[in-house]
Amino acid sequence: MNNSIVKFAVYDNNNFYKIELSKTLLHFTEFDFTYFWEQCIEAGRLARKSGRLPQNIISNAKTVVSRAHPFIEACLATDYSEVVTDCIIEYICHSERIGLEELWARCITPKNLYETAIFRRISEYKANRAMNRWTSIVRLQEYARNKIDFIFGTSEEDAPLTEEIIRTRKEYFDLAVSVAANELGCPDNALPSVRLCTPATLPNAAFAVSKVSKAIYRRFSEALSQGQDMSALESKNCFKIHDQVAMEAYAYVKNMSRPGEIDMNFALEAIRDNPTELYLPDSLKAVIDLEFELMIQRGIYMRKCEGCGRYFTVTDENTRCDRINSSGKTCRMQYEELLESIAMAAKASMADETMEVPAVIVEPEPKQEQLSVTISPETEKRCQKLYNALYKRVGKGIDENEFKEWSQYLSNMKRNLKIGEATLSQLDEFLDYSDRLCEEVKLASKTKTPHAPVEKTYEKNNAPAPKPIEPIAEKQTETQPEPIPAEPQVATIVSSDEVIVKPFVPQTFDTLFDAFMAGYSDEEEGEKVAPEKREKKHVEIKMPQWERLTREDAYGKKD
Amino acid sequence: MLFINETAAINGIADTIIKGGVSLYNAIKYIYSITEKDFYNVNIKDAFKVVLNNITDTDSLQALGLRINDRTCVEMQNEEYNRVLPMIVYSLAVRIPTLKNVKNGDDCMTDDQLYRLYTAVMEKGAENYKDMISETFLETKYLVRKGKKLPPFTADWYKTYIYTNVPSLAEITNKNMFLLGLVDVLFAMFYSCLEEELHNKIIEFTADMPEDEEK
Repeated sequence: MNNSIVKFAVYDNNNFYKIELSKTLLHFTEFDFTYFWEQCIEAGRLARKSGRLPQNIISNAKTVVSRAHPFIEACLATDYSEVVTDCIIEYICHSERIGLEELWARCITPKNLYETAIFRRISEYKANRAMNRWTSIVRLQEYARNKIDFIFGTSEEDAPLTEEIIRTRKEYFDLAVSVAANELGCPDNALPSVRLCTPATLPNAAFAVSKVSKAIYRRFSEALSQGQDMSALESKNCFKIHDQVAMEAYAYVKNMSRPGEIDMNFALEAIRDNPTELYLPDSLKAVIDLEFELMIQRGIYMRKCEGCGRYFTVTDENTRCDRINSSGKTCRMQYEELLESIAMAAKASMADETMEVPAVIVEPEPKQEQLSVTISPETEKRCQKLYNALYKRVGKGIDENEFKEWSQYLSNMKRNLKIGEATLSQLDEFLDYSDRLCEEVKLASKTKTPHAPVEKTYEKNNAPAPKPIEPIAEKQTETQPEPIPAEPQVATIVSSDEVIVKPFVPQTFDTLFDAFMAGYSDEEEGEKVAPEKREKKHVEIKMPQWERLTREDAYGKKD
Repeated sequence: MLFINETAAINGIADTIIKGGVSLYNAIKYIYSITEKDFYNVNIKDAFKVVLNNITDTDSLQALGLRINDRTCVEMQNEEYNRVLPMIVYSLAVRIPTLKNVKNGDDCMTDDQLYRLYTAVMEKGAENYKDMISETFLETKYLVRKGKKLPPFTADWYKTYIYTNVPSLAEITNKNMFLLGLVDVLFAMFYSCLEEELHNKIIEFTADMPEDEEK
């Protein structure tokens, strides 16, 4: 049995209908009624001219609206039979800015069938025998959308909703409606409800399971024909006497024996294909609420697509839906393509880097064999989640440069793992740091402020950061830093009245190189330096000494 | 009053009176049926509006979900009550002399025309069963001729009749008390609207005839 399909029946209809959990709901919430609305307006316009509603347009419009939800389809001949008239009434009231009472008074002495139809329909509203089904559909569509958003909507995409949270949200939503109804004095039986039945316990069971019902009637027809007429109960409130009424009916069949084998086989054939569980909703809202309830019971959830912002049924961890958008592709396909292109770009940049290395470095034979480490799928998944989380918040809690730096670090770390120059523990430390960073970024994105600084513990524990391969000459200057010269003394202000200013003496240099270096140093400081102080400045210039380095010499020995 | 086709005019006005009587008879039943299960669903003011705006066709009340059948009006589904219809028509017929007040310019219906109208209505089935209705055609004619004010069109005779002849409605029940209250208001309001309808009809017959001739 398919877990996501349930069947329901409606009053005054002997057929059974089905709901595909979550799909029916999504279809209804996204159904576009524009065409139906246009058809109704056209029907109203023609009816004003001709004095009667054009049946072809009406039947067409009804067919369109019946596609919105199976319940509307089931009740199209009963509750929703006047949905087009309802739409026309709504349109007239809206366009002419009049109330129902005024429109009713206008049509109280109808001159044609069109006015009669409008008069009759509004009279039904007034007598509580009907409601405007069109406005009801529109309001219920909004209700369903709001409920989906309330239950499944989240601002923290990375924190997956648990079953408990979803159920609590749903209960809270329903309770809010109940509280409002209660406070407004709405009677219990006025609100929509659903009954759980089997085909044999339906109110119209005698007709829904007609073959077996006929056979049963033949057995008891004599007793039943002499029975007491209970139809008068229809106009009375039987809320408190259900058992009494049922037992009075049962009294006529209480001596029933089990039928013979032939009759039982006949019943078996007739009942076999009937659903074992059948819901009997009394309104569209009841079906919508039922669908929510069953979805949550059966673990069928929805998620907002990060691509198009519409909800979709959750089938896996993917955060994008399978709806085809204006580009002709699904959001999921688009996202996968984006990821592929990012990966390609990353590969390309890596290839560029590796191509540059041999130009500078003459690769020596490794002194020690490096063992490559494979990253587990769980770690990959963790990396991806962190990447997604931070990527989404670029510009909100984390700026672009910081994100690029972070992603580059991660990329380098992975590459180093593959070539055996980093360990999993280093990666784990980096990911732990990233988790903390992510939390800070989330908080910052909520408050729309820059995130608080996160301590880079991974750098403390692992001195050599997995930086990309750089030209060896640059590295050399890092590995052999120049001694920092003492800062030159500048003009000193003793007090506001007594300022000691040395007279200007032009500088003299032995070589152009000395002059250049001296000027560079001064410009850096941005202040004038006294010549005698400058003389004290000790600048040691070493000629570059080019020599071959091994990887260990360049980057230091790895653990 | 000058009608181009006097017979057609008198028959047409007689038909309107008969239809009015039938409408009043049906309206009572329809509104009575509210008590069956629609007491809090149907606003009686709406029902009155429908009746008074459709003097000759009360079937519009069905739009409010009201039905006349053995369940909703079982107390009225008997021979005794059926006599109410000809009596209602009679009660309207005896007031025909008041149509003398309808003027088309200086023209008004003659006594002969009014009497022929009265006869036409009576021939179509009006009856004063057990002389329940105290008013007569001659009395009304006299009052109109003297310019005196007529007694209001009330439901007194109706109530007297059901108290004495229709036991199912004479019984003290919620539904029957509702009926007695509603007829008091309905009779007076209905007659007022029917008078207006008849005035329009008479003017219509005098105005329509030349147009027909032109055609």
